[in-house]
Amino acid sequence: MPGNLRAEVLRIYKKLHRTRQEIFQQDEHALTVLRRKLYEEFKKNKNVTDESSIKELIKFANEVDHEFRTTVIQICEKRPGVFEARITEYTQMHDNIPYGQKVDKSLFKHVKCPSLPKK
Amino acid sequence: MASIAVDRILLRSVCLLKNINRLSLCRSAVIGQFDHRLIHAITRTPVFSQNLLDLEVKEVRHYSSEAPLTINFIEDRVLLVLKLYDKIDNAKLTLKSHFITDCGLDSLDHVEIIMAIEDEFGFEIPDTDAERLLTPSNIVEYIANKKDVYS
Repeated sequence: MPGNLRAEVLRIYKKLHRTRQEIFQQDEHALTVLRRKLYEEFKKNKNVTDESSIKELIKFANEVDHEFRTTVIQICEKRPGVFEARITEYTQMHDNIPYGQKVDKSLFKHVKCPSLPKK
Repeated sequence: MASIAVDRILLRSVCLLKNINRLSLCRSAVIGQFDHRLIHAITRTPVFSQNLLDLEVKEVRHYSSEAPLTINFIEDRVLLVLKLYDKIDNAKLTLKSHFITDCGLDSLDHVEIIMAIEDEFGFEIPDTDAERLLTPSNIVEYIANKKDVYS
């Protein structure tokens, strides 16, 4: 494997670990499981030598990292029955959709939302 | 400059103000630099002295900075971090042992070790430097260089 590709693989490996530490803070179980999983997944592909497939895998790893950062939300119980979601700057958020009995459905024609009542 | 000096004297005298009844004592201590009339003013106007007492409360507390690092201390901490890493056999670990050939780790483990060291010492190690840090003594040396520790 060319040196720069090797470095890149190690870099994304490190990045994934940093992301892991960030998104699962204080969640020992998730941290351990994911740590093992990351190692296994990288190890699984250790015999890949083809340059383009390595690049493909790096791209995939980057996508995984992005997915982690944007879609994993930690929720912790502040006091019994009250939960707090930890929203980070990366958390992906959509616009709110107003809910009510008299929703003007024509406003949401372009939105794919299964919860909206059908005509 | 003069105002800074006066401020400093004022600050210093704040502690003395507690013993305002024994002002004669303070006077003898500050008399060289301090205006008599000011001292009288302080004793006579309670508002002003109240302000000064506020000052005393707001005094900034300086926390001590972290203990100075020594090479031995860095060695201990590095070895401790490495021992806590589950894939390293503690019996095999010495300052000179090579992570990959002696401890049987791979490059992925090495990345994790470097991350653990980064977390322990609170600074980031660039990838280009990280790949050269292949024994505990390399790491100790690197950290000592970064932190300007020579003893």
